[in-house]
Amino acid sequence: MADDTIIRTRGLAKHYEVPIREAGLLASVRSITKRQHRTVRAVDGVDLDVARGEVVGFLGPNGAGKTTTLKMLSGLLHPSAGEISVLGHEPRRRDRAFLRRISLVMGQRQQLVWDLPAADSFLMIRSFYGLRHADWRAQLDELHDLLDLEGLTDKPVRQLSLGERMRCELAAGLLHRPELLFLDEPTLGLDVQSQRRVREFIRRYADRTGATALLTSHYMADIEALCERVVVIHHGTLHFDGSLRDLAARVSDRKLLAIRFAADAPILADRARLDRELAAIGEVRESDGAEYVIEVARAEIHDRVTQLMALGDVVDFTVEDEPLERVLERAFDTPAAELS
Amino acid sequence: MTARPATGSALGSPEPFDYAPAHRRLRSWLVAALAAARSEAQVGVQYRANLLLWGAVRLLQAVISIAVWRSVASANGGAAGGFTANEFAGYFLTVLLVLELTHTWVRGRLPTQIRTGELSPLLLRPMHPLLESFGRMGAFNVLLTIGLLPSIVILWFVFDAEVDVSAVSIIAGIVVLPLAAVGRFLVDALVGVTAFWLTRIDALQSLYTYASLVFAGQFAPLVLLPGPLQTAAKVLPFYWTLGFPVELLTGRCDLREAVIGVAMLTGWSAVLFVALALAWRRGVRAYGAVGA
Amino acid sequence: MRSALLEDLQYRANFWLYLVNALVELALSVATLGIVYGHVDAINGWTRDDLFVVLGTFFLLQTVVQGVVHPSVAQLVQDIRTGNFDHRLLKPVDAQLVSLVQRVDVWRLVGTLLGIGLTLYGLGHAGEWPSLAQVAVWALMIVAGTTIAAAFWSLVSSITFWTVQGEGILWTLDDMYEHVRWPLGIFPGALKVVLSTVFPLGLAVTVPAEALIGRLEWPFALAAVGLAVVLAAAARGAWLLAVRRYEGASA
Repeated sequence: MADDTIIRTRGLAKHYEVPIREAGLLASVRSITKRQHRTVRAVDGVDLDVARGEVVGFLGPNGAGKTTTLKMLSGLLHPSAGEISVLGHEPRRRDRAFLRRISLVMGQRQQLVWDLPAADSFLMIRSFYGLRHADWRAQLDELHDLLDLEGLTDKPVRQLSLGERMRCELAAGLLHRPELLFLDEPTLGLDVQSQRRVREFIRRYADRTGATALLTSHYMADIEALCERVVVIHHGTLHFDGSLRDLAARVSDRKLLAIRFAADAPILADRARLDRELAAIGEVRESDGAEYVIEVARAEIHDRVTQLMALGDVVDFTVEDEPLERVLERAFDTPAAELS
Repeated sequence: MTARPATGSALGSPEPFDYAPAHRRLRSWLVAALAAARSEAQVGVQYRANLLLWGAVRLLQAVISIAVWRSVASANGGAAGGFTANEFAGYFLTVLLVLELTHTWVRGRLPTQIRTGELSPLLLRPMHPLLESFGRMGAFNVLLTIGLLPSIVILWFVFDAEVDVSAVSIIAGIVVLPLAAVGRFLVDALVGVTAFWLTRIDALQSLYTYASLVFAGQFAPLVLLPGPLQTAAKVLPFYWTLGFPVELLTGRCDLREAVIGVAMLTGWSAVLFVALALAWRRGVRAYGAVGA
Repeated sequence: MRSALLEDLQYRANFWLYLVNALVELALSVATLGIVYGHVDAINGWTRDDLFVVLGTFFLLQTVVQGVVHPSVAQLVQDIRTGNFDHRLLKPVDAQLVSLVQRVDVWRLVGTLLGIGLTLYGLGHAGEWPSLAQVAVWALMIVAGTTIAAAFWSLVSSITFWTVQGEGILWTLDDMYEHVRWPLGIFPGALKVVLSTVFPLGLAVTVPAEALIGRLEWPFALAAVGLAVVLAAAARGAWLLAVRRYEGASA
C-alpha cells in the first residue's frame, strides 16, 4: 500500500567529523594550533518504509545510530546522504505544517518550563501551536485521563518525580495531536511501575488514535509490549526488519531447560557426578541448590530432555526461549546478510 | 506489517487539528510571544531573589556612574561636556531605565541552549525560538522596571536629578523605545548565534559588553568621548539603541537629530535583521550537521 | 585540578579569545580612564596613575574570581541539580573548599599578567615606588580582598541551596564585580561609607591599591580585615546549614 507509506528513506546516512587528539597535556597544547579529524559513520545507508498506524521499535546497542535516525526523521539532523520523506515533507526544512503533525519526545526537560507547573506550559504550547481552545481542552482532558495527571499539573515541574515528569512531558508532546510520534527512550531511568504506565499509555494512545509511532528503548519489555515490528540497527546499518518472533526464530537456535530436583534426590548427594552429567547435556546457565537452568541447542532438544529426565527425581521442568536480551546480543553479532 | 485501522474513539480521528490560515499568522505569532512573556513573568516571580540582586547591581552601576561624573563635574568647575552634576544624574538614571526596558539575555541563553541541546525541542515547535526569547524578554523587562521604579524615583531626589523634558520628547521616546528594544535584541542575538560555530563564546560576549559600554553612551554621554570614538559610535549600532533614546528622552535632541536617529535605528535594525536571519539559517544547518 | 586543566585546554579557541579579551579589557580600561581624565586631573585627589594601580588590583582579584571561584561554584550548582553533589560529600576533603577551587579556567589566568602590568605601570608612571612595608601591607590586603571575594561567592552559592535561584545569580555577581573598577576613595564621604558596607567587593579592590600608593586609611584597612574574617565565618556557617538542609532533603 504505497499511498499509506508515511515514512520512506533510501540510503539514509549521517557521517560526523570528530577531532582526534592524543591524551596528555602536551598534546592538548599542540592541538591549540593544529587539529586532526576522522569520520564516524553514525548511520550508513538505511532503507526504511513505515506505513500509517504502525508502531515500530528501534533496537540496537548504544551508539548504533537509533537516536541519530530518529533525529533525522524528525528534522533535527541533516542527513549526509540519501533520500528521506516523512508525511510528504522533507524533514530538515521543518515546515510549520510538518512540525504540527509530528512530535519528538526525548527524555526529560524538553517541552516543559522547569520552574512552572505543567499546566502553564500546556497553555503556552496551545499558543505556540495555535490550537483552538476547544480542541486543546478536549485533548488535554483525554491525556489527563490516560496519563493520570491528577495533582501533577499544578506544581512546579522540578518538584515532580522522574516518572511524573515523564508523564507530563508526554502530555506536552501530544497536546497538538500529532499523527506521527518519535519516542526516544521514553522509559529510560523510570522505576518499573512508571515504565509500565508509560508503556500502557503509548499502547492505548496508538490504539485509540491510529497514530504512527517509532520508538527506541533499552527495555525489552517496552518493545515486546508495543511493537509488532522491530528494526535492528547496528553500526549504522539495518540488520533486521520484521516481527519480533521472526527475529527470535532467526537468531536463536537455543532453548533453556529449567529443572528442579526433589530435595532428597540421590543425585544431589553426589555433586561431582551431577556437574559432570549436566555439563554433558549442555551449558549450565544458573544453579541454585536443587534448581538448574541448562542451555541446549534447539535441534537436540528431544535427546537432551531424555538425558535430563534420566537423572531421576525431577519435580519441576520447563522449556523456555532465550531471554530477548540474549536474542538481541546474538542479533547484533550476526551479520546482516544472515538475518534477512 | 499491516497498518492498524484507526478505531473511533473519544480522541477522535488521527487527522491533525485545524490551524490558523496564513493571513492570520502574525496574530498567532503575537499570541505565542505573549504566551512566552506570560510564562517568563511567572518564572521571574519565582526567582525574585535573583531579580532583587540584579536590580541592586543595576542601581549600583547607575550610582557609581553618577558619583564619578559628578566628581568630574565639580572638579571641572561645575560642568563637563555641557552636563551639570544634576544633569549627569538625570542622564544616568534615564540610561538605567532604558537599559532595563530594552534588556536582553539571548546572547547568554542561546549558547547554553545550543551547547546542552535544549534548542532541539524548541526547533521542533512551530514557533521561532528567537521570537519566544523576545517575548520572554519583554515580560522580564516590564517586571524588572516596575520593581526598580521606586528606587529610581528615590535616587532621582537624592541626586537632585535634572532633565530638560517636554511632552514631545516623551512621546518621541515612547515611539523610539520599542524600536530600540528590537535593535538591541538583534545585536544581542547576532552575538548569540556565533555559538553555533564556536564552542564557547565568553570572550566574544565580554568584547561585546565592553564595546557597548563605551559606544552606547552607557559609560559616559557621547559628547564626553574623544572625537574619533564619537565618530565610531555614530557609525556602530550600539549608540542608536541606547544613547540616542536616552538623549531623546532627556531633551537633548533637536528635530533633525531625532529624525536622523530614528532613520539610523531603523536602518541598522533592517540590516541586523537580514544578517540575523541569514546567520540563523546557516547556524541551524550547522547545528543539524554536527548533532542536534 | 589537573583534570580540570586538561578539560579547559581542549577549548583551544578560548586561548585566543581570552588573549583578545584581555587586550580588549585593557583597551577599555585605558579608554575609560582616558575619557574621564580628559576632563579633570584628579578626582578627590586620585590621579590617573593611582587608578591604574586600582585597576591592577581589580584584574588580580578578577582572575581569582572569574578564573577559579565562578567556574567552581557554577559546577557546584550544577552538581546539586544533577545529584552529583552527593559524591562530593563523601570525599575525604573539605567539600566547601573543593567547591571553591574544583575548576580552573586556565586561560583566564592571563589576567594576572595584566594586573601586575597595570600596577607596575601606574606606579612607574607616577615615579613613586612603594616601600617594602607598603608592599607587605599590600600583600596582606590582597589576601583579605581574595578572602572577601571568595567568601562572598561561597555565601551566595550556599543561598542557592536554600532557594532555587540557580546559576543566574552567579552571572549577576560577575556583573556586580565589573563595577569595582573605581576606588571607593573617589566618592564623597557619605557615599564612600555606604558603598563599602553594602558592597564588600569595592572594599576588597580598593584597600590593596591604597596600600601601594600610600593613601591607606587604617580604619578602612581594619574594616577590610574584619570583613574578611566575618564573611569567611558567615560563609562557613551558611555552608554547614545548607549542607545539613541538603542532607535532610535528600534523605
